[in-house]
Amino acid sequence: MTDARSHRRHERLPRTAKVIAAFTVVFFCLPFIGLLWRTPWTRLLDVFGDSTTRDALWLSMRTSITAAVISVFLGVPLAWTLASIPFRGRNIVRSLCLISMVLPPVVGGISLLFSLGRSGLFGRYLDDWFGFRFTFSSWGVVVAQVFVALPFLVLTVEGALRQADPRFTEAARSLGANSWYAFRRVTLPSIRSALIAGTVLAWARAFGEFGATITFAGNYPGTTRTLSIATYLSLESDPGRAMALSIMMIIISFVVLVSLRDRWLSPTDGARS
Amino acid sequence: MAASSLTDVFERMEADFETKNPDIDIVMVFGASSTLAKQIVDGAKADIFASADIAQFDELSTFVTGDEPTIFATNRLTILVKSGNPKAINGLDDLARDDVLVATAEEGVPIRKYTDRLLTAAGVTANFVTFEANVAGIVTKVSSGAADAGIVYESDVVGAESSVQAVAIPADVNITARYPIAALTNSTHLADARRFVDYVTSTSGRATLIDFGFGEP
Repeated sequence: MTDARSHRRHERLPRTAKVIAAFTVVFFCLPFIGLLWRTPWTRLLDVFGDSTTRDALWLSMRTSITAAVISVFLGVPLAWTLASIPFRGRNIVRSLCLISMVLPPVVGGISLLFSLGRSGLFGRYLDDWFGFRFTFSSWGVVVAQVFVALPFLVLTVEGALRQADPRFTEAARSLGANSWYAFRRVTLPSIRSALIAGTVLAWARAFGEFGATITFAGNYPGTTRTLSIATYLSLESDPGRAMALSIMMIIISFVVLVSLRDRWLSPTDGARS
Repeated sequence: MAASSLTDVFERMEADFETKNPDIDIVMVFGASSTLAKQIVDGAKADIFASADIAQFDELSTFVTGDEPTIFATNRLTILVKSGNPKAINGLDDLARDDVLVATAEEGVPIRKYTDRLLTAAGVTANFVTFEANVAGIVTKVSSGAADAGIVYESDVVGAESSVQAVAIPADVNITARYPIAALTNSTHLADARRFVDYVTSTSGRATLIDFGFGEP
């Protein structure tokens, strides 16, 4: 996109839209300003450095990245299916897979507890046969995170697949590529930015997940107490600590979102071929 | 605002009270006493505060003025297990077993404070697997079978579903939780608030509390 074009687009934007946009930005900033104002800055480094925080941060990083990777493995084939095969009941299947976006996470956690929990409908067999439990284990955290994060990836990737130009994939197919090969080498690269955006969204949702995690996996230092759980529960006993942990989460999320956007998600990226 | 362990009994009392006083509409907010106290300090509008522990009133007193709190109920602790007691949990000692997964609450929540005090006195190191946000979290973990046991209030067992049962803690080691209540004097409905406090502490209020598993003050 040339400078002249971007300039023209800038001028065409009505004033009202700009005013509302500015207001929206302020709306997003206000809570952070309030938080920064109350944060006990002198304690920040102490809280960042102590071993409880490091355990929670390390657990959050491990579980949320695992959850994002699993979401890609499970979500891309699902998005592909939803985008390309017009089977009967597709809308119902899609809604079913996206419903955890709308549910209060605690409801998701309760549902997981009664299905995959230690005495749950299916979870009891995992325990009986393999001695494996999701509850009170880091894998339980991952499952809860995948449950809430997966829809973000599916939605983003499916949307991009629907808009992708099918001619390139068809050309690859006509040249003898099988459908997996064509998908991996032609279709996926063409939706690269959407795939990355979806992965980052899923990671961010997993990183911030709290309700489903504590309900399904519980809260124990080192195995299930993620940074978001630690933040919420510190509000009870030590609000200053909770604020310091919030700052930590904001910094991490902000750095990840900003750096990934700059690197891979420039606005013109999707249009390039 | 009231401690989450009061949820069932206060909802009943609210209904009874509003039938007798149709001009008053009470709105109840339940949560961990510690959370509610924080919210009140941070400016949440509350006319009445009922806590599971007098400590929260001490916390409030520097920020919010209120009537002198009255102890209106007591609650004893008990061990909550799955009904039928499949793990044969008969006392506090069993909570230290490796095959018994025990749920409790996060530090700062009154039930955790009572639990720690009880276990320290009994010399038991419980096999905790999770620190829940409030008593309701403990009950959910036990009733769903995720955990085998948890220490809760006796009134929680009365309110809980049939999938759980209680294992009594001997009276000589048990701890009594005292519930204070008071109208907060910066309330915009102070007179009405005091009427409800009077109702809770009256004989008919006390009878309802006993129905729900609470003890006399």
